[in-house]
Amino acid sequence: MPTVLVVDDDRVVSHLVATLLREKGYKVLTAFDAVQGLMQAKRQPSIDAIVLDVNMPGGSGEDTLKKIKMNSNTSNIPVIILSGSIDAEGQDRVRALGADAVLSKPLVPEELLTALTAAL
Amino acid sequence: MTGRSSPGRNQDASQAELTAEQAIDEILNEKALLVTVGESRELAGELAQIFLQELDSRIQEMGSAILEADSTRLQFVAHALRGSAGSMSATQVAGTAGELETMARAGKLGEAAPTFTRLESEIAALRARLITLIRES
Repeated sequence: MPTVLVVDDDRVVSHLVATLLREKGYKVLTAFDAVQGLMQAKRQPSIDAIVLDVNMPGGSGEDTLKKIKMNSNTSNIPVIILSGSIDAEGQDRVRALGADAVLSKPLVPEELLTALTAAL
Repeated sequence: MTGRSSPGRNQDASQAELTAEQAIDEILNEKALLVTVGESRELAGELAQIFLQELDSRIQEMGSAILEADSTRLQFVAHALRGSAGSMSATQVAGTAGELETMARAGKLGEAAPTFTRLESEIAALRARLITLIRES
């Protein structure tokens, strides 16, 4: 089953996403800030998709997305943005940076599962 | 006619019940939370525990940020609380945290203290509901 890296400083959301994905058979890794997330994305060759928050300590999700897409080891990993406060302009920006989907919080589990299936 | 309730009175009572139910749902909409967690009371209880573990430090940090007029810190913590509370279907707390986030973004911390006081009382009500949820999970 695919491995998904969940990068979110909100531990409620992180636990919710990780549990829902594990129940569906995904292997899940978690990171609680942008720096950890980026490090894991670069070091773990088995990551098939990333679920990324936008507002986090240690750097914004947009910066993290940019770095993921600029690194040759991680540029092909699909990224799903999960944000509580992204406006239309922000959505356009992250899509232009290479995000595969942009979802709003509060999380709707079906939306995430659909986006992941489409991205993988 | 004594002892019989009029249709108008019944309607008022139903309206009052509905309003009370809405108020309870605004503190914690358990139905919505259970939909999010796929009807798993166990997962709902786990999320409630995580939420409560982070709550005190967040409230303390928001209080300090208001006292120190640190709008950047208030904006960040209020945003985080809004997100977590929204994920828990705690609409009232999420909304008030959102108000504080907006005030902080606009640099209007002078108006934040009464809103923060309201948030603290909403949090007390939410905490009680979450403790019950954890016990029942």
